Amino acid sequence: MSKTILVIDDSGSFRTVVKLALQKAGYTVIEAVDGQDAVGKLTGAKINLIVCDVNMPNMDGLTFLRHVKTVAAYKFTPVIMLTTESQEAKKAEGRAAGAKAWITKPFQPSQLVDAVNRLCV
Amino acid sequence: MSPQACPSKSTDPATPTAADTAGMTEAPPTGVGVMTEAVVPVWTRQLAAIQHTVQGGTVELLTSVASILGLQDQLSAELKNLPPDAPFTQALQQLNDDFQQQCEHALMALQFGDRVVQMVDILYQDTERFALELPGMQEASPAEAEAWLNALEARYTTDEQRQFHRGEEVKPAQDNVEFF
Repeated sequence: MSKTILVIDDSGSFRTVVKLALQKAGYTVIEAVDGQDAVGKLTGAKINLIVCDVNMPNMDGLTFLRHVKTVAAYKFTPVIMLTTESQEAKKAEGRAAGAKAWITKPFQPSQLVDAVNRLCV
Repeated sequence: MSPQACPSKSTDPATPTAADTAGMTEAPPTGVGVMTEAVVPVWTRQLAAIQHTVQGGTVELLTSVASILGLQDQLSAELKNLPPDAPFTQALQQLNDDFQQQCEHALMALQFGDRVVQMVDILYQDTERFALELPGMQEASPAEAEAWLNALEARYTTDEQRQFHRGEEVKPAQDNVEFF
């Protein structure tokens, strides 16, 4: 059974890029359009890893990250932040909130797949 | 500039008198106000059109790339049924690998369209906000200009935008994967 990745990004085309890359590598992908939508997808079903954008409407990625770490079923689910944001202060915020990796867009799909393979539980 | 602050107009015989405008609730904007109202919406429409065009093109390209990836999956599956040591299998395998690499490049390149859409979106929103506030900026000080620039910069999401903002040369991106 393939592992499931939750991909959160407000850009539909970007979610498609990530989805194509991950599906090609054999993963099942669930999509959410922002942090708030993603909170609704945390239904208790197994999610092996989360790929999350930072700048999004309604609930941004760092707020979602802090939230997910308070949900018992998902507190150990690794989170990769995938964002255009490359400021060190933001990265430090992500790290402090429990992110496992920070990937700056644009990225090579193979880089994302390597990171997911490495961190997926 | 408010209409009341434009004395030359009051002496112009072509200017409507108080009686002429008695039925009007508000004088039409003049000066910076009228220019802003006339010009800025044209720019914001152009920015919205750029966004829409790039977005549409990106979606079309993504659909094509998704189809190519599907075809490449079929090719990979067919290759498993061929004798592995045959020269034509090796040639097809090479073709398949090249295919995969090109698809990977395409998925990377497609992200630039998305990036442009995001950058234009911020510019669009800032332009609209600036146009709204411009008529009240008649007496703006250098400190207020600085504050505006700082507020603009705070909304950027990429180093590239910050470098453009400061008029700096855009530096190539560093290694973009960092594990914590």
